[in-house]
Amino acid sequence: MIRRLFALYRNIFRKERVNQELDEELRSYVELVAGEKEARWDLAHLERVKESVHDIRTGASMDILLQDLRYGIRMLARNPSFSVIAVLTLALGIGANTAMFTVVNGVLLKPLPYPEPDRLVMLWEKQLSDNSLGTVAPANFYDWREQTHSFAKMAALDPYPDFILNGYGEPQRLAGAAVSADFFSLLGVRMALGRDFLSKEDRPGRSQVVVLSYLTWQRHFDGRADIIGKQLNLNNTGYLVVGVLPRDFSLVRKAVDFQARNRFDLWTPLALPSPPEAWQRGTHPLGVFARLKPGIGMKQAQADLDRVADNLQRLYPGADKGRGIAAIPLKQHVVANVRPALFALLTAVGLVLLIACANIGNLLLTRAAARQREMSLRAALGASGSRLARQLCTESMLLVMLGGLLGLLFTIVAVPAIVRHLPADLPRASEIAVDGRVLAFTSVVSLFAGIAFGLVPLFQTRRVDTSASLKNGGRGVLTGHSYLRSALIVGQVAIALVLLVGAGLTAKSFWRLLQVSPGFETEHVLTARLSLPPGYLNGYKFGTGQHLRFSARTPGTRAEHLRRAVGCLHCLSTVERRR
Amino acid sequence: MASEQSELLQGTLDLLILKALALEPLHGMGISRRISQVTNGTFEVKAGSLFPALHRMEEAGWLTSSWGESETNRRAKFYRLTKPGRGQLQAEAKRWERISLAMASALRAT
Repeated sequence: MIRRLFALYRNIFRKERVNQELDEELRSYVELVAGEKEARWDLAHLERVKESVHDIRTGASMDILLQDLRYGIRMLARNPSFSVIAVLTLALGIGANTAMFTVVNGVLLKPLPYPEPDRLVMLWEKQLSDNSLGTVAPANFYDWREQTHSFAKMAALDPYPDFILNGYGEPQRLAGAAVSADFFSLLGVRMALGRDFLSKEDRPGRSQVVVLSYLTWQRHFDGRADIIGKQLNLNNTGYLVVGVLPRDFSLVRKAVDFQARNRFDLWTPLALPSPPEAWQRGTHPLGVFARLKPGIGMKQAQADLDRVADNLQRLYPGADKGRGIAAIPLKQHVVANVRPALFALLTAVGLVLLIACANIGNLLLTRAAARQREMSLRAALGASGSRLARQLCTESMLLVMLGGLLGLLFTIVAVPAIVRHLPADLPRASEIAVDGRVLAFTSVVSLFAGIAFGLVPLFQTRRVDTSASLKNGGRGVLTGHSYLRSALIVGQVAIALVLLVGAGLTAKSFWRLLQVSPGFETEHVLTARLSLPPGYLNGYKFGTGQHLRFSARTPGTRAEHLRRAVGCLHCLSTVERRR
Repeated sequence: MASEQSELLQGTLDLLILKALALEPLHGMGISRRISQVTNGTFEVKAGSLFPALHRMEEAGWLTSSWGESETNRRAKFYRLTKPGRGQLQAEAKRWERISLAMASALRAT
């Protein structure tokens, strides 16, 4: 191995010297032979011996490659319109694929941004009658945590609390989440500043502490480090700031979870009341996260959960009858419903690349006809078929490398723009970026594209009848290859048709979806979410009427409209419940 | 004479060269001469196959070369076996013996 490397080094960097020695060696051989026999040596023969020595040297193929590359560049430069069209076509095809893959990579392939993400699962209450999943009742969460053995940690998240921040300029409404004390340590998140919740703070009366999201910290508190230990006025209650989350922390999830909130501004302890017997089993507000113990698989965990669920069904026939527990890997939960769509898109751009390849294959065929004389000449001069094939492949690779590079540039420019226009409920959109895996993908795709269209002209050059095409002055006897051309065109049209039909059907489905009647008129109807700090409505009888009177102060609306609106909201929630 | 010369079988050239060099270092002409001698003129190794083989085997580490004086006082490149080369010779020889035995018995079978 080391000898090989050494030989390679010599053959490449000491080429002059190696060749000189070979000359000398052969000269002395010739002299010796001449002394002995009446051998006749002509120069051509000697050259052939030299050539054959060159060919067996380590790195000979590299030498040939360099030659071919130089030649290929000359050929491309001589025919700029062809080169530009081919490279641009490829750049579009490869760029589209790379961009799409970047999205797929960020959303589906990258591991979740937590340590050992494969062990993270979400637990759901499952209606055994229809297998629908739902969030979890506090008492159930408590029982699961106490009675299962498969999980290193289990934590719950209540996504509903809202906070009005007072005392920092205009009052701000902040979206809060209440979590078990070990929620962040379960995910493996370390605070950028300050500390995590303590377990003693996860109790009623002790829980007036708050952890800020990085964004909130920057936006409302100018990123000042002395925020830790400050009291904030939230909902007219004093909260102590204990920590700030790191900038890159995000709770990955589907946006439909947690009432479509796409971020939480601040976090407080969940502080479920003790004793646990007092916890509710009838309302189901919690999202439950868990981390599997090392070495425990999903099957084992599910068996463990089934056991607990059976137990609870027996103990609480009122609330838990017909309820199972479902464990779903966090990643699967997050991306499950975008996976088919993304793969469909990836397939579509893949087909576009195929069309591009077929196009370039066709161009190459045309060019191959024009270059037939050149090829025949080279074949007549002793180039073997494989040598010619290699030359053509090198040229194709050159094209595809240029195309790939351009495509990659295109992607790097386009990805931020794409991310901005992605649907808002695409999970993990913030993780979409060009990385090593994307580069690898681009290389592989380019390689395959290069092979795909690089092979096309080979089928044709094989059939070159040297003398005939030389005699014909290169006007070429193009036998049979119109077949290939027709096949390429047929393929292109077929793929284009597939794409067109696919796009048409998708558009039609979308159109139909827009036409679906929700059972009420959606025009001029507003929906609004409203949350009032606890205690604000003390003494009010909370009902639709109160809502109306309260809302009627909103300028520009009329109570009548609002009544209609509330009516619709009511029917909406009924629709949802029926589903 | 010429009709009695045989085409070299695939893979025999390496073995012949290794064998020829087993005794003493030789230059290219010497190697071809030695092979012709020991095979009673059955194999004449031409430059076109000899030199590529020599360079290939040198790059593989079986041979090393150095410049020296030939018997007619000319500068010539001498090849000698290396240790891996000797190992290769033994392995090749064994393989070849097996093949020739097998071929002989196959031809003798009736």
